[in-house]
Amino acid sequence: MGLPANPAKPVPPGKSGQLRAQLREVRQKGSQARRNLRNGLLFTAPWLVGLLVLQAYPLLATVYYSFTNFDGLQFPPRWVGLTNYQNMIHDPYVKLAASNTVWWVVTSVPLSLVVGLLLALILNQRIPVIGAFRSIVYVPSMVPLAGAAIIFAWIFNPAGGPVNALLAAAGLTRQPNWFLDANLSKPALLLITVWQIGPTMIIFLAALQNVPKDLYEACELDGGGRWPKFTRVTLPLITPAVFFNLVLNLIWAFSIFTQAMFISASSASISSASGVGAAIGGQQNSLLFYGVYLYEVLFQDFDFGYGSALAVALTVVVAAITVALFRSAKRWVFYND
Amino acid sequence: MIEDSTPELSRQSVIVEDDSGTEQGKKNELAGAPYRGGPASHRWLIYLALIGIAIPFLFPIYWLTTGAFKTPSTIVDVPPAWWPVHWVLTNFRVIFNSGAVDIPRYAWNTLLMCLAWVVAGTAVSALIAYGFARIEFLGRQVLFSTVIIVLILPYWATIAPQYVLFHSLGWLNSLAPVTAPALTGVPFSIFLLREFMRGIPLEVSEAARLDGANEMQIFLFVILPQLTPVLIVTALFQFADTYNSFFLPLVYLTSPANYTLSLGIYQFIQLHGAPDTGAMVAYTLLLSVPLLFVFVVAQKRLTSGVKISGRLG
Repeated sequence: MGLPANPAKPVPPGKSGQLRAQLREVRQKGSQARRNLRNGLLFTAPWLVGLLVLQAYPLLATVYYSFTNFDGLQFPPRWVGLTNYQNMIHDPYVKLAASNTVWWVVTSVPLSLVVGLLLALILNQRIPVIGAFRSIVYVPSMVPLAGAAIIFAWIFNPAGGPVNALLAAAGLTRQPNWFLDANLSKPALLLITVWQIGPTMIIFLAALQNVPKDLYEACELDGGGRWPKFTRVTLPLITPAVFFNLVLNLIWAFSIFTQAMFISASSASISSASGVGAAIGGQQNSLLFYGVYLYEVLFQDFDFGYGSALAVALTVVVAAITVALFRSAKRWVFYND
Repeated sequence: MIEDSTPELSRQSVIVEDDSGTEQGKKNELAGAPYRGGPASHRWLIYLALIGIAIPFLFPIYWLTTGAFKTPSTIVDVPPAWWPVHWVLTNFRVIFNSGAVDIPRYAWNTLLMCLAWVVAGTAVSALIAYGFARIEFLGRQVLFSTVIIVLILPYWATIAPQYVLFHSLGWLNSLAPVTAPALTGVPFSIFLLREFMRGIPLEVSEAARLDGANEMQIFLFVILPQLTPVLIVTALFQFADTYNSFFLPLVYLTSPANYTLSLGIYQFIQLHGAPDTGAMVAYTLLLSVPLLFVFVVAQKRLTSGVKISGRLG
């Protein structure tokens, strides 16, 4: 006797096939993932190399140098602890450079955004030959930074420049010295920034043109005039452009360098009346921006230790502002997708 | 002329239209500008305002262009001469004949530097962008976020060790420090190209894959051809950016034989005290012409390119 053979419950052939297919799929997925990883790393390899060699390592090295005394040549750098940072606190030029830069950031960034938006609003009318006017406003931003600075130093030079000639013709007896006046050099520099507002304006213009027309009509039906249309429809819908321009202009403002260097060099030499004093930071160091001072410390004094400490401080500030900005963006930037 | 909104180049559409066809006209009706000209009687006021805006924007370019052709004595006239009485090439002769600057040499160096970044930089950036946009691999997001971080990181954060590195490689006194880094891609170009590549439907790649194409073939023969207009915009940006660069050449190019145009004029002004203003103005005009020329030739593409880049994060 025996129990009838109780064959193991046969797995329906279909199911086993399914299992195998599933296994195959998992394996395939695994190999697909591996293949993707390999391909992804291959395609992005140039970036990875650059990231490690030109960004990550130098960033860490900058932090390291900042605790050392180092001229860029004599290895190894000599460890000095926090000395460089302590020196920073007592360095009057750091204070000056920082305050010049803060002045520049808090004036040039809002000014660029406001003027850029105003110009975009004016140029957003659909009337004949408006395209020509848009080009006219945009084209100065294609003049190289160096060229723009030289042109402005020349146009605003107190010794026979056209601007002061016009002011004289208008009856102004005491004409401003512009870049040669420590109180006016930064405001005059703002004029170059406004002159080269093209990219900021174009980004606003594009955003304005993408605001759906029906929203304005809806606002009109609610009895909204021009101002409510602007504050309730236009502004919220162009917040991505505002954010983008804000970030870009902040980066540009913090890294201001070329214009200041060229203004300092050329404004003094054009009006030779002022004689020497073509110091690197402009009239009475009024154009000694943080970047300009860093350049002096790093590449004229070759004080890589101290320069690195200055660079670390700048990086921390810029990073903090950027992080805060990107965080805040979640609350006020309205992405319509 | 900068026309009304070129078709929005967003992730959804990667078509860059070259000419304003009827299609665009229709689109403009939809995207229409809120602030129209108003009644025709007020038009002249608007034009008056526009002309008032245009004059200060144009004047510096006018002053530069006419100034370069004034005689060296007219150029420093007080009060200034508003129009060159005699158009002369003296200033250009001075700048080309003076031993102080070597414009052809600087132009050649500038060209080499621009070529490296425009050709190699854009090509490598496209490769990298493809990896980020079209291949789903482990760590992709994290790696891409480093592109944004580097984009925002001030160059001061890395310049000192980079200098030490290039110095130890024996690269100082050559163009290598201002050209070789192009081979690692450009953050802004990567960002821009990735946005566009993401806009191309995945099915396109899938179809090519079923036909047996590998990733490189898909990149070269499927994705790149669709991106030609965007690549041109990216390359134009890159050209403007590289042409404008002054800080890196100032730091790395110590020998006059390697100077670029921007660096050359800076050293000319710095070292020669109060130079001949005419020569300086002529040099400035020469320096400005290439970018202005690019603008005139390609302004439509350029402005549409600025527009599409308007999104971060």
